[in-house]
Order: sequence, then structure tokens, then C-alpha cells
Amino acid sequence: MKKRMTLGDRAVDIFANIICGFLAFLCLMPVIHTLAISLSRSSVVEANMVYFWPVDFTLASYKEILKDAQFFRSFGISVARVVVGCTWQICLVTLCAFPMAHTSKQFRGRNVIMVILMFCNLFGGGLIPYYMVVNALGLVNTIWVLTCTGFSIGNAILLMNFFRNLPKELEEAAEVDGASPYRILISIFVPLSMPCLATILLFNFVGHWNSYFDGLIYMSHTKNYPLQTYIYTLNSQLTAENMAWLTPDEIARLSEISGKSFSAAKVFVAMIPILCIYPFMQKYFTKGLVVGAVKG
Amino acid sequence: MKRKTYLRNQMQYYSMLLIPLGILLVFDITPMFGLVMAFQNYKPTLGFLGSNWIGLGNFEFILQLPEIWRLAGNTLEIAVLKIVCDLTIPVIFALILNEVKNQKYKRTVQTIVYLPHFLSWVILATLFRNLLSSDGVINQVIRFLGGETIYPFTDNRLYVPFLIITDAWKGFGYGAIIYLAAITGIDPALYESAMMDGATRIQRIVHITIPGIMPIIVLKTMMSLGSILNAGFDQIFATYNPLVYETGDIIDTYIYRFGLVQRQYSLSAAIGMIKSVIAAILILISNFLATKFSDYRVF
Repeated sequence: MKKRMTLGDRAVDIFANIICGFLAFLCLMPVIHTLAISLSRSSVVEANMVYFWPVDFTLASYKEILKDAQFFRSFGISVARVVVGCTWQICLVTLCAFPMAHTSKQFRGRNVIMVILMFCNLFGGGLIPYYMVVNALGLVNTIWVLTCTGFSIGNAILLMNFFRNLPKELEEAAEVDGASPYRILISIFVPLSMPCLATILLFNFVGHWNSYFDGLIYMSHTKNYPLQTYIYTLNSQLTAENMAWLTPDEIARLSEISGKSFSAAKVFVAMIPILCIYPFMQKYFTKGLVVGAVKG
Repeated sequence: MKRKTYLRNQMQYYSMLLIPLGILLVFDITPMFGLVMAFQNYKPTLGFLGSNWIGLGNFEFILQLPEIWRLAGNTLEIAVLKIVCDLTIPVIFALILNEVKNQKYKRTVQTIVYLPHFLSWVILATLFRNLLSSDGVINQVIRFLGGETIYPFTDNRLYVPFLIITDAWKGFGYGAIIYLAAITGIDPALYESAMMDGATRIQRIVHITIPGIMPIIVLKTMMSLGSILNAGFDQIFATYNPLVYETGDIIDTYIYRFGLVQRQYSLSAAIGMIKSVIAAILILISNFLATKFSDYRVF
């Protein structure tokens, strides 16, 4: 039904459009600024003459990246960690969620295990005891410490709730036909849970791609750093305290002053995977999030 | 169901949980035993069995540290301010975005505002360093408007507002998703009848949309109690430096420096233990409140 808009309603309309446009600009501005810097000549950048459009367009910074062996190494480590880490998470979260989606009558011991999961979700040993375990298992400086030393209980619960909301009849019918739980999981639950699994995949993709602190702690050589950790070390200023913590090799790397447009180019390349993936996953995470959050 | 099938099902359920529970045992439960070091004067060379037991000595020492109260204060201040922003800005944004009638424009805006949520703090730190450098874009604008140059990365007064604003900037779009979904769930008949009765758009927002999303707002408010000690380690660690320790240093960053950099294993484990116990209690309370006052449940 159509109704003539009053003056006040028109004002709301214009106001909403302007505010939203402004907010979108605010969110995009730093990214565009960085892109513009990375595509401009260094001397112009140092003189702060670049805003949202490249000045003296050049691809020099990107060509410089091609020569940076460590950047590629770190990029490769990040890609590997995303692939291994996401596969691991999806498998473990699914394996954990499926039995837990049953009632304690269908799966004896479910409630005890739920308490264990909740407990582990709330408490941990903290940084140092955890480091000792990882170290004792010889996982320091390997990719496994970044990917396969845990799984998200929160994601498992998200998926569990999704499983529970699927029609009960599906499982019952399959059971009557003699399907085993593994069969039911793989042939019925997993295909029906694609939106939720896609959401979890996206969360983990972003999480793995973006985390930097674990790389800093569990990798003792710069050459093993994932991309974000590598970028972090480029950024961090030299302080007395991390001078003591870093190896001479790393200090040398830090003190070599990297040009603004060079580091902007690196940061932009590090953003590309995210820029490529999240718009396409949008319909999944908007849905998956809501399923997990609103309905328990 | 036949007994045999029942048993087979039980076996298979347990076999599925074998790896997940094994991982938790090794990487979550085993480290918890390491927490005994909080009650020891732990020396790596002596190990857990050889180190001296000093009871609550570490905890007494910590409570006497002059900086501990400042750290707790900083953590609370930053976390509470972030929670306040997180509870208000996404709601307001969702309400405004909902008034945009052009669907294509609306979807474009949505896609763009989700972006910052997906970028890491390391990357954002670089972006903001460029924007906020002494001759950067923002300072040029400030000077143009007649203000004084700001240095949020080294100025104790400005560092916390910097953290709050950038955190709100990063999260408001993504935070709005849940409210936008709740708005879609409101019965359109309500709007139609309100329009028949001559309600203006503002009146419709106030009397239909806001009450419609109220349950989610209440739920989020109660859940946020659980993150009151969570000031955002990744953000602060990527942006801070010794010049802003006074206002920007939080418990988590202190534990890291104290434990791994200065190698005060026992003391930092004790601080971590106090923090995680309080945090766990807060989370349990907030979950309890959420279950009690709205129909939310976790498990």
C-alpha cells in the first residue's frame, strides 16, 4: 500500500540515506587511503600529499614486494594455516556437535560431557602452562601449534543448536532404515547444515588469517612467522623491552626503515583474501549468526 | 529400538567425541595442572616437583603491587566503555539503516560496513598510524579546522578514546546484523495498521521497531556482563607502547610482559588465575541472567 509521504517522513528518509552513506565512507576511507598510498611514489607519500587517490601513480611498491622473500614465505604459511586450520576446525566441531545434539536418553553420558565442554570453555591453564605443554610435545615452530591444538567449543555449540533445529523425523526415518550415526551425520546432517558450516568456515578463515599473537609466541624464528605476525613486527616500534626479547636478526629487520608506501602495499596484499571472500559469504554469516544467537 | 542398535549408536557417538575430547584433555585440561605454579616459586630448572611451595605468597605479593590496581582500573574502564558503545551504536545504526528504502543502496552500505570487522588489528594499526601520523589526513583536517595536532599513539589522554572509537568503528556494522534480523522478524501488519492510524515514521520507529528489538537488546546487555574484564588484547597489543602504559596497559598485556618477557612465571600465572576465575564467575552470572530474563539458553 502506498501513502503520500509527509514532510517529516521525507526528512527521515534523507537523513537515513546521508548518515548511512557517511558511515560507509568512514569504513572504507582507511582502506582506500592505504591503497592510494601504496600506489603513489614514496617521495609524494612522505610529503603527505596523498589522500584518497594515488599521486604519481606507480607500482614500485608492489614490485618491491616481489623481491621480499620473507613476505612470500609468510604469505604461504598463512595460506597453509588457513587450509589446515579450517579443515581441522570443521571436522572437530562437526564430530563434537553431532553426538551432543542428541538427548541424554539417546546418548548416554551427554550431560556429563556437556559439563566438561562448558568447563573447558570457561577455564584454561593460561599462556605459560599452555606453552609448556606445546613445547613438551615438540610443536613449537611448527604449523600444528597454530592450527591443531584446540577447537572452538562455541562453534560446536552453534552447530549443535543448528542440528537440533533440523526435523527429528529425518534421523528417525534413517534409523529405521538401518543407517548408523556416522552415516546419518554424513548423508543427512552435514548436507543440511551447509549455511551453518559455511558460517563457521568463514569465522575460522578470518580468525586464522588475522591472528598474529600466537605466531609471535610459538615461532622463535622470523622465517616461520605467518603474514600478520610478520606485518606486526614491521609495525612495532623498537622498545627497550622487546629489544631484549627479539633476536639480533629481528632487530636488524625492524630497524631497517621501511617506506610508508612499501608497508601500505604489504598491508593491502594482506587484506586481499579477506576482501575477496567476505562479500560472498555475507548471506551465510548473516543467517548463521542469527540462528546461533537468537534461538538457543 | 533394539538393544544392539542402541549399543552400536552409543559406541559411535563416543568414537566421534574421541578426538575432540582428547584434544581438550591435552591442550586444555593438562595446562590447568600447570596452574600449581601459582602456588610455587616456580623455577624452570627445578620443575614442578622441585620448586618451592609458597602457598598464597604470590597472591599476597600481587595484591601489594602498586600497578595492579591501575591495571585493573584500566581494564575495567576500557572494557566498560567498549561495552557501552557496543550496546548503543549498532542499535542506532540498525534503526537508521532500516529506514533506507532503496534496497540496492542498503545492501551496498551493509557490505561496506561489515568490512572493518574482518580486518585484523595488525592491519588496522597500520591504517590508523598512516591516518593519525602528525602530518596525516586526520591531523591535516584538525589543523585546517583550527585545532591542535593530536598524537593518540603516544598521548595518555587520547589513547583510550582512540581505542574506544576504533573498536566501535570496527564493530558497529557487524554488531547491527542481529538487530537487522530482529527487525525483519517484526510483523509488517503492525506497521500497516500504524500507518492507517496516521503514525509518522518516527512514531513507528519508537513504538514498533524499538519494542520489537527490545528482547535482543536486553539479552545483549546481560551477555555483555561476561566481557567486562575483556578490554581487547589484540587491539591494545598491536597499538600500544611504553608511552601509553599509564592508561592503556591492561591485565592481559601485563601478564604477557610479566610472564613471557620478564619470565616471572609464578606471579603471572597467579594474576592470570585471579582474572580467569573472576571472568568465569561473571560469564556464569550473565548466562544465568540471560536464561532467566529472556528465553535464551546455551545448552
